[in-house]
Amino acid sequence: MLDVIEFSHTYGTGTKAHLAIDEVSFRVDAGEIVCVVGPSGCGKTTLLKSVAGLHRIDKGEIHLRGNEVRGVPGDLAVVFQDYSRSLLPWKTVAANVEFPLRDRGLSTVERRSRVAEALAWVGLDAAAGKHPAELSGGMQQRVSIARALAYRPALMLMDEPFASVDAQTRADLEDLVLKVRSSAGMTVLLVTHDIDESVYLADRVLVLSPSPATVVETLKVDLPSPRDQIATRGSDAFVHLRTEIARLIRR
Amino acid sequence: MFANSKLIAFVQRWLVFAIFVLIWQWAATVTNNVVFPTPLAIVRKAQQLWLDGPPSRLFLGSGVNTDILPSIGRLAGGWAIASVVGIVLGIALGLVPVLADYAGAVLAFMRAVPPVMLVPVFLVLFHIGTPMQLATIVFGSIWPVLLNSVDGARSVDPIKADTARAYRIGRLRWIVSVVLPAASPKIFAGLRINLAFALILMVVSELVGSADGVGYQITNAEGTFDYRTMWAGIALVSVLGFVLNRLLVAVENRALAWHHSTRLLEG
Repeated sequence: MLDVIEFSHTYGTGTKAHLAIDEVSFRVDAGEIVCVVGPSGCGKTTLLKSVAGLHRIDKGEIHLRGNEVRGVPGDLAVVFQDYSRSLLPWKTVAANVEFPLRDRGLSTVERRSRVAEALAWVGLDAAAGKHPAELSGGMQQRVSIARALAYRPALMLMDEPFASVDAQTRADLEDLVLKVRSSAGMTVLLVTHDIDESVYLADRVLVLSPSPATVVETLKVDLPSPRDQIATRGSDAFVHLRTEIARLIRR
Repeated sequence: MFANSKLIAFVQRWLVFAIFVLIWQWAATVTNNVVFPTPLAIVRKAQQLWLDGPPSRLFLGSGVNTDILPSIGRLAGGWAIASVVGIVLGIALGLVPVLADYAGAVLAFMRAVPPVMLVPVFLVLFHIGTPMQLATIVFGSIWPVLLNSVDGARSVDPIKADTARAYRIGRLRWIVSVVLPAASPKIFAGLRINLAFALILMVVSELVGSADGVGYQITNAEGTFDYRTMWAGIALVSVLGFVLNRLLVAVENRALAWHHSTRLLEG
């Protein structure tokens, strides 16, 4: 699905040049959830934005479904951390979800049914006519997720999606991602600084080093599905994995 | 309870105004100076001038056609042209920084010219009449909305820009559905200043070069020592400014309802 091959990214030029990502290679298979963890400021977001085609790719290659990424690919959706700045406050929830569909040559009927379906997935059918400011933070992030789902991307990118919500909402949203992955067959690449979250959500965890980012280790997460906030997080395998990742990041 | 608080707000708003008018009435009566007629006399004069028509025409007199309608037409036309050109140009300059770099010096220079100073130039160019007045209004009142549009277009949230790019939103849809609404609080603030400028310049242009309209009427009345008519014209201009501003604020409140509710929740 996604192949990142010896990808490097440098900010600035000349003496001010700063190497943010150093020859990172990894892949994401269809239907997988891959989490990228690493210390703050290590270049996780830069990596995600590069995959999204929002940065120019100077060195290395990124392939999405076999096509080299040059500019923004058409089958990819992004969920940003800052939902309130990503959503359009002057549009209703339904109009926000519908907005990216408008330039895709879909009929009105098709657009409406996709919006309704996506809002049902995230449990916001009743809020379709409201404006984002009328919703809680967690519900606003659900709108962003619905917007990504309605777009029906091959790959969903999530940049620290739950870093700005409270703990209970965070747990709910994590379970929502797992749910839509199984019901919508979504492939997800999620960036987080929260080790527990990465283990809880992922099929594989990609551990990055401090800046410039390199791949320290890729860990397979062999936890049983469906995952459960209490049972999974309490299991020996979970504790073992999170300890190992913590050790890798500390090093 | 609710009706009561509305009543209090109404009283707060108009109490000082009412006292001001009463003091004026009293002072004008006591001094009895022909240059300063009483408010009552001014209103009566205004009624004679503009509200002496038959009920079938909503009492609007023939004076409306020569004094008020031409002025409103120029004001509305000038304001509309200045607003549309200002918004389009401002958004374009705000979105293309290179354009703003090139045009910046010229715009700063043109803005520094007091618009009233250009009235003689426009008089020579267009002679007395509506084109000269429109030019004065447009040139003088375009700046607030132009500069606010530049500012608004520049301040679009970078995360919204990233989101739009990631979802491959088309250029036109990006401008119409994201940049314009995001800039609209600033644009509306510009439109209100714009309107105030347009009103002033409408009067100025009519004082200097016109054969009709309220500004012409004011100078004409002054020249013929008809001070009541002069004051009626002045009162008319303030009423016009007040009503138009109220209309614009009502439109703004509707268009920016999302903005006000966001601010309320954040505050």
